Amino acid sequence: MESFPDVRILKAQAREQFTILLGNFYGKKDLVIDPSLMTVLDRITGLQFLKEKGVDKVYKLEHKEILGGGNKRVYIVRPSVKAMRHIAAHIHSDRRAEKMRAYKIFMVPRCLHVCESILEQEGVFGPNLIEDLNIGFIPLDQDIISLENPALLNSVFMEGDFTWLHTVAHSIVGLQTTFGTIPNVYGQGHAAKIVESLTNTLTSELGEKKSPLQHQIGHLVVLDRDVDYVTPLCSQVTYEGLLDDIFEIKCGVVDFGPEVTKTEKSVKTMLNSEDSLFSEIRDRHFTNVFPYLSARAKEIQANYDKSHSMELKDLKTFVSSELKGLKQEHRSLTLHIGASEVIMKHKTKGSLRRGDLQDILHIEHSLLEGSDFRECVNYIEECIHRQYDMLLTLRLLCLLSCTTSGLLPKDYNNLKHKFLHSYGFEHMLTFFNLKKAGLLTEAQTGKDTSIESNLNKLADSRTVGSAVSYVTSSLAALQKKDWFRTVSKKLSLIPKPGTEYNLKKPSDMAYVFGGAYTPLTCRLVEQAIQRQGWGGLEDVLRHLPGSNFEKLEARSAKAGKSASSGEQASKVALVYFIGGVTYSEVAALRFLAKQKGYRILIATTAIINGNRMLSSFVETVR
Amino acid sequence: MTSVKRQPAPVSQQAEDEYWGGSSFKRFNFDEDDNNEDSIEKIQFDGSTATPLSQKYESTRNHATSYGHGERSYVADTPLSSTPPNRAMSARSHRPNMPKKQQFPPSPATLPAANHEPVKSNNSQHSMSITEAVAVHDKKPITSATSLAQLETEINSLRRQLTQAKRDRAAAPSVSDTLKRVMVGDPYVLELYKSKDEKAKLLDSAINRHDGNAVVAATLFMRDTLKRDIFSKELMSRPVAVDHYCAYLREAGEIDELHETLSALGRTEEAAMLKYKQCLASTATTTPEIRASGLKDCIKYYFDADIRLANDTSAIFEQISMMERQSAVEDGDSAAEKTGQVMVFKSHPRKESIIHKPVIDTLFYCCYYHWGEAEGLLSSPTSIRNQHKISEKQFMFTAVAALCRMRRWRDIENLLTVPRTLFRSSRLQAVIGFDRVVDVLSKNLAPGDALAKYCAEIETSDKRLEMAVKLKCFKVAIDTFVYQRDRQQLMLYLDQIPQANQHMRQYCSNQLRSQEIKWKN
Repeated sequence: MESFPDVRILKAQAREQFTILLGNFYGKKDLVIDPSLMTVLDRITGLQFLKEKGVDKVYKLEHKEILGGGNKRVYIVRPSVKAMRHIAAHIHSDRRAEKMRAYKIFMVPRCLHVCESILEQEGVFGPNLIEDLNIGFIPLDQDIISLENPALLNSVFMEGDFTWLHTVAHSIVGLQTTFGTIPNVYGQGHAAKIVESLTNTLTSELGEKKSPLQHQIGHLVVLDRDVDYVTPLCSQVTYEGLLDDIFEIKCGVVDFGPEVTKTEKSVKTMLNSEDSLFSEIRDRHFTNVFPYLSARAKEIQANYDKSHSMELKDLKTFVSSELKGLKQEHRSLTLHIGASEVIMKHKTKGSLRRGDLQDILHIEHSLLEGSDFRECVNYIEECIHRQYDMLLTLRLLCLLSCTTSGLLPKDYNNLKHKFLHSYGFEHMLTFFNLKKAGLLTEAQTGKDTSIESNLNKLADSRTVGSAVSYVTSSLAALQKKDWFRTVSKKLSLIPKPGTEYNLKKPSDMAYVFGGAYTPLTCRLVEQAIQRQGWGGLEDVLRHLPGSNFEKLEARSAKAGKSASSGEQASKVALVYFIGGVTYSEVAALRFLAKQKGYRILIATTAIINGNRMLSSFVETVR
Repeated sequence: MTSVKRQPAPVSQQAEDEYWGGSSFKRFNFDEDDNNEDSIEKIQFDGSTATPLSQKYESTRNHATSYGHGERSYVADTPLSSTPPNRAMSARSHRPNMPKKQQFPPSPATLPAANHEPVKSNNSQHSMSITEAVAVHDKKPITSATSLAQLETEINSLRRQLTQAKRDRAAAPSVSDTLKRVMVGDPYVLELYKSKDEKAKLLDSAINRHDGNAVVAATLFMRDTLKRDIFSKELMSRPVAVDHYCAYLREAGEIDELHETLSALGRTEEAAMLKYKQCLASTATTTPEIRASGLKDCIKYYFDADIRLANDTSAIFEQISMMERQSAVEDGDSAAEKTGQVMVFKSHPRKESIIHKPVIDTLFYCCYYHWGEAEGLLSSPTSIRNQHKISEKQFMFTAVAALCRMRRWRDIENLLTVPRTLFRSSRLQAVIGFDRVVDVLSKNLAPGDALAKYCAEIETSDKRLEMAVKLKCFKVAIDTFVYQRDRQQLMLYLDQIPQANQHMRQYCSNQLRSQEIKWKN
């Protein structure tokens, strides 16, 4: 569909900016790159590009000296205190060695006050030292764009630090400049609201005029991750989701190890819609992947066989036209069959560190339905007893907490005690972090007479009266009794027990979790686009954390004139996930788009899965 | 235009008057100034003459407000306010006929020698332009009293403007202006917000804008420029600022300040956790003894005070006692290993130290190497189990796995046997269920006969069948089919038994042919 915004332009923009900045620093230079930016830069530039721009050597920014290198050096970093300290240490060591070197620091996406002041304190601040390198969205595919900044989740939803929301807002402003101002905006969540207001402020202050372009995107839905922690906590069962859970997809690239390739080497593969085979299977429920792959394998075999019975003339055309495509498909087919086999192994055979996927799925489904509570708690206990992979255990624990609005104090203390025994006492810090983020909480018992709640009250009254910080207010929001049950009933996220679900021909988005659950976020998106706002959903949104807002296009008489192109745009929606999105949600939204004839562009701060989400809250001191 | 250009006149009025008064060119300077500035400027402003002075001044002033502290000093250096004495001197001695503007350098950057040279050379060569100018001025009539009065008022107004300019230079730009600069990444300066109200306003506006970077900037600025207790008070009344400030402190590693802030806010749990983390991090490479004493201090100062932290406090106590046990066991075992006398360390060499490992890892280790030791010993599994209140199930999982690895089948059997009582003979029983026992054994690579033995004990027949089929315990599977009287399935199962295992195939066929079983199908 030609009206769909072409996001490749975003990559070109980032590249161009990078080119200019590098060009302004004449001559041969070395790069020192923040480890967290490696894959991002890889995605937009590549070594060949850097060489053309006069880059000599590339180093990783670490807490140690870099020996050697030329007399010009460029640091490319996130604006963090740690990175600044490393850079200052490097400069100091050069000074001690009396090495003359020119430095530049490119801050992605912008310089922060603290960075300047650290450099100032360290005595290394200089004119023209810092440049902002505004790398915004990385297009991972034609319908996914990502800021690739997983740290945002922790800083916004645990610390209550809005600094990164500026980047989110800035990216929206950038999109609007390129694709036209988006007329309808709907949002849910604390951070979403802030982003909306920041977007407006930034638009006016950057002097961005209301774009003269006809808008190509009709709707923007902004959602906070903490509106729906449940979805990322579930095991994924779509093909791409499984690949991410088992092999980990980084910036759209997966590294298949020897177990998949069946050779010595591991293979890095881009996963996007350019691989026609992959784009066919990526969003399928896993049970539908293998039959398709084997059918394809037969087809390819047939095509190869065809060549045997060919006349010489036909053979020539076959070799020149079809063979290359066939070979490519063959290669991709081999890889995906290998990957599927590994996934199958995971599914049916647990290991010392992991239970069977089937058992885990069963427990997750019970938790989502709210049935067999004791069985679930017992299973989690067993995970702890058997010292299964910690993130798996933690994921189930958090799912238990999120679906039941916090654990009962008895269970909480019991499970925590056992958890600390199995995984180390230092994880009481992890528990604290998860509590702060609202992922794993202790339910407040109804009885106000208990000593504990009185003590809590006492402590609360001692703190400054109205001073409810973001952190504590988000906790309070999650403690609404049984909110997940209420919401899932009202939005019918969970099918009635006993209904058969046809995974071969899915009829709704729930297929991404084997028909057991429709992702809450995706249902919200569906409703928002369908209803053109939140109207009629008030009693659902009331139960979700954060507040909601909507901004609708003023429907004037003029609207009729541009109806034709506006019509097209009104079918295009941008969905922005603040704090990350999972591949399951992506698959569900693609399904929704196909079903309803929309085009949905997904923007996110990072692609996450349960493990990556939780590991950002895990403390690793030992 | 003229008035601006004459700005220098009032500046060092006193000195000039003195000087000019004593000279024979009494009225000359003013007129000269008026008419002949072009040529003078040519001498003066090497290259950049065209800009009128007023603009220059204006632009430096702008710089000062936007770039702030550093550059403010350079504005002060400009001779607007006072002519540098040495320059006045040199002008006087060398060039008595040189107009005053000479002493008014265009830009501070060009102040030194470079500026003098063209002047000197002009002086020696008596450049045409100046001599001509002097000649022209000599013919001019004496200024009237009215024009003098005019000049007087002009001087006064200029003075006023100057004081105003001086004041402006130090006045802060509006808060919204500064915050806008912060937001879009332009240079800004906060040091000009002197009053407490202005600072507070800055912070509040930053919060209202939701600009995290500006909130941090304003907060840190307040911290640096306000007295401690005033800063705390202002901070505490703004929860959003507190969150950002804490995030900053955490990132910058200002742990003590963070702890103090959290305590002041009554967030004792967070404060205590912070100290606990700091203690662990700082003792990561030290001996367990040092860490233990650190943790004890931690409890004493930060955890004991709050009754809500009772669970965590007892956990840390457990941690300390576990560390003491670990270091004792570790010392004993590594010494024993070194002597080379102890068989078990030879046959099963120790892989890694248990120091700082979780409780269950330690329990596993002790089950592996020290099974059956008396409870009085620190290395005894039973002692760990009792001290840390390890549940029956947990103990089973760990012990079965460890003993299986050690291939101590007899011990596993004992562990899973309920001794004979008055009413019942001894029997096998597992609190975790035999399906779990078999699962643990199979994942620890137990041999077939051990698996079969416990597989047969699995309580429900369905589960038993499932496990038996999965783990290829043929006899158990066949028996279970028989138990379920499921002939059809048993016939199918016969195909799954490999040809090599003739014994089992025979057994299966026998069962199928058996007349004693009442098949259900």
